Amino acid sequence: MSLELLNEKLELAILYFKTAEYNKALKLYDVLVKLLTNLSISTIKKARKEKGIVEVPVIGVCVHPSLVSVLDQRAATHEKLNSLSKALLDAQQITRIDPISCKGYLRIGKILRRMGRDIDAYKSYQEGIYIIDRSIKQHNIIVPEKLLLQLKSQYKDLNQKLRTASQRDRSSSDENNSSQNRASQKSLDRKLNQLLPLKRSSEDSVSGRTKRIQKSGVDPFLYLSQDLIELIFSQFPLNSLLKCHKVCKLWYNVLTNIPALYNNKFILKPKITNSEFSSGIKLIKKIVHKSYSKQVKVLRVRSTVNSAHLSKVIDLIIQEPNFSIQNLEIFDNNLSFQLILSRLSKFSWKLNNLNNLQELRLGIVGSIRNENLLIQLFPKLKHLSMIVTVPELSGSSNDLLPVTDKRYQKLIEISLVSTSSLVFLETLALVNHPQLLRSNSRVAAGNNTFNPYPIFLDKTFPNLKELSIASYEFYNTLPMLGEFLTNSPNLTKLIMENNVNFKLLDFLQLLKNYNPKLKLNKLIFREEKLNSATSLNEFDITDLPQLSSLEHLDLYGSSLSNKGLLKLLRMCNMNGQLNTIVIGPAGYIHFKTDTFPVGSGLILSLKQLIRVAPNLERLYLNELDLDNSTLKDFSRDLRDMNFKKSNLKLLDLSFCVKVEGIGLIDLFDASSTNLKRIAKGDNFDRLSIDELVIDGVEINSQTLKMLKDFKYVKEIRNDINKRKWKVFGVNSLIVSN
Amino acid sequence: MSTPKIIIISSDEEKFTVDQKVAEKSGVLKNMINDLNPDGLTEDFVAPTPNVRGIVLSKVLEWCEHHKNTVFPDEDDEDAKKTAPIEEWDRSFFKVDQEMLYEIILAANYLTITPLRDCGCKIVAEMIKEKSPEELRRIFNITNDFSPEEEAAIKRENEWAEDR
Repeated sequence: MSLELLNEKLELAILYFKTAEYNKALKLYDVLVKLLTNLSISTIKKARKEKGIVEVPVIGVCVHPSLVSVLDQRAATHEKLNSLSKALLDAQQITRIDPISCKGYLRIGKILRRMGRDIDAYKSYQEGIYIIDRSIKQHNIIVPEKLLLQLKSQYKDLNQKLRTASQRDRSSSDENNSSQNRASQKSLDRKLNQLLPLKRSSEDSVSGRTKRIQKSGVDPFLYLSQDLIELIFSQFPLNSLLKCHKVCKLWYNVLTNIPALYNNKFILKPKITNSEFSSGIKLIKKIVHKSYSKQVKVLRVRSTVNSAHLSKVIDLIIQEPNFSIQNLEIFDNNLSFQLILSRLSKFSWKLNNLNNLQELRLGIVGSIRNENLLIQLFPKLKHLSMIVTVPELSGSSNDLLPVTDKRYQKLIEISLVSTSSLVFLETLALVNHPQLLRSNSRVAAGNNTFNPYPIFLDKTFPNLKELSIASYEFYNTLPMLGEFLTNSPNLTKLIMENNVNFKLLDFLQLLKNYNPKLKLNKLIFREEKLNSATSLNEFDITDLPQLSSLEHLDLYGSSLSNKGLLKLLRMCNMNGQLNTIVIGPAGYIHFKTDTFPVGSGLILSLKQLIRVAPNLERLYLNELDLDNSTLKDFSRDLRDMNFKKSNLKLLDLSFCVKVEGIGLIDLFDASSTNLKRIAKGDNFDRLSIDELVIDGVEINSQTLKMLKDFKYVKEIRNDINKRKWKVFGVNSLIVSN
Repeated sequence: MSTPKIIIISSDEEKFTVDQKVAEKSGVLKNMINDLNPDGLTEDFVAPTPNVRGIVLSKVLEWCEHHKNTVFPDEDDEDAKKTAPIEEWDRSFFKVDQEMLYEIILAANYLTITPLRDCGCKIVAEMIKEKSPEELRRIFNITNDFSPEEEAAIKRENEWAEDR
């Protein structure tokens, strides 16, 4: 169709409109819209060119130049004919085609207001102004200034109107105290507030952010997909997650449908009752059964309210339907292995939920008896920890043994002759209570319940990687341990702490004599008491290949002399991998202090340590007699080595109570001259480490802040309320009362 | 010839012209551009994003523009991602109403702009964390649709974990 013909029809339509012949006008507009929207793209481009506008618009859809005005006019015609919804459709199409059309937004607003939808009209004005303003900024687009001003003034007027209306409504509702009225008023207020940025921005400066969020509340669960909800809640601790269950049904259902959020780890609160656990199981099962494995990965019972509840909790753990558990931990002051046996006897030795148990950690009362039965019952165990948390001296837990149970008797018989072992076992921790080491305990407990010797050493666990034994009696047991180590070629971590009749020297000799084919990377050997000083003169440096690849050596409380220590460090660092050394209070190891001056020939220096273990990254010097002069000495050693030879990242001086702030300043050589140089940007070699730990010592916080500010240390920990360095489960296996 | 640009079209047909570097903050767009132009761009590339409204897309691109030179922690390093604090700029970027916030997250998810998505999620997490159920309902305009019996049942269900 030619341009003239088109223009003719258009003029005629306008004429009909002006003479109020709206139906006739509408018919013509319908024809025109149809014509204009069905044109080929080349015709459209040509028409645009003829009109002198760009062929393809920067923003919006490429249409015939007349389409927008035709649509606007048709919308006006519809308006006159009172078909407001049709009018609205046309107007909305305008802004879809041309998002920067002021006309379009003005038309939409006008129609919506006629429909009584002031809020929607307001929204449309707002959106239009936003898009147009931004387009002008971004694309240098020019829009008819008059129309834009009109749009903005409409927006402002309506804003004003809505505000007064909202205030008026509020005051009138104050008189009316019906609660329902108030609730609906509230929601209207919120809606309005959400829409009134003019008012909002003025309020923002005073009331801050939270208030604004409240005003525009929209439930994120309605918007976001499950994977996004998962991401949002992924860092939530369990308690916060459970709190969110209470918000509404949607939240409850969505959250309990994402097992990953709960990490499949269920840690019960301390002193739990049977009924609390029982209703908890319902939720745990609901969550776990959405997971792929359908098994409870970790269930941790921290304590129950009393022994009756404990028995019921164990019963539930064993026989609750569909509650298979992989990793079970129970710590309770009433728990004994005997009790577990008696519960199993009650269920005719069906393990049920414990059939696939991979990890078992028990905090129990009294010595462990019938340990071979454990192997019979749980042959798939990968990790086993038996920790005596309470020294039971009466032996009453033996009363719980199901001695009249025939199956039990049979199991005992089998276990006595059986040679089976835990072929999958990777970690074994046996921790006794120190009180059970005292000889008078034997009398109190009687021979049936009292066993101070480490169990399981007569077994073979071919895949064992980590062995921890604490607070046991090793008298006459060393040959057994020698055999055990020979049969554990995969052992890489060995932790021995507080064992009686087992000196470091005994251990080293055991290794030399039995020569097991294992290579340790972590050795913690903490002697129970100080023995006579040892310098390891009887060893050649190549005698202990088992220790040659050590990375972590902990000799807290050893009887080594300076010479012995340096020799052992050399043996352990044959392959240059030693990076962590712990030296706790040691009777014969002395650094230079005010009371122990250089020259006495017995002084250990940091320089010597770093020379034998140049890859040292973490050094723990705890509960030692160090003082400020020691640190000054350290500083000199490090300076002498030009700092570059030191890989030190962490220094732990916790519970070296003589150390003061000035000592730390000396250690880092943070003199005022040096601080000035740093402030000036002078980049000279100086000691700088990642972490300094100095718990249990009172240090001026200003000093610590200065060390951090001047980048001597990245992180500093200084907990002066900590009472002792050794904490069970953190850096020690010694159970205290 | 000037450097080719990327023209991104929103669901409401709004067009945004940006540098390739900015558009490639989006994994999806990056793949699309590179798959279709294995030898590099020679002319402007048009990419429709039919799920994203123009008003949202413009915010998303504002973020991409600001962060076009930012190096983000490794995608696979979950810990680094989770512990990274929210930058001040991002925080003020997200000072928008909740609907916009969610739409930005959805758009970032759809366009695989992972750091933006994660940051938005962290903002939402902060809004939720440490709030009581009542506060949460108020903040998000949610009606409590539990009956008193259901409420009591949930309370019981939670008791195993909540410290008294």
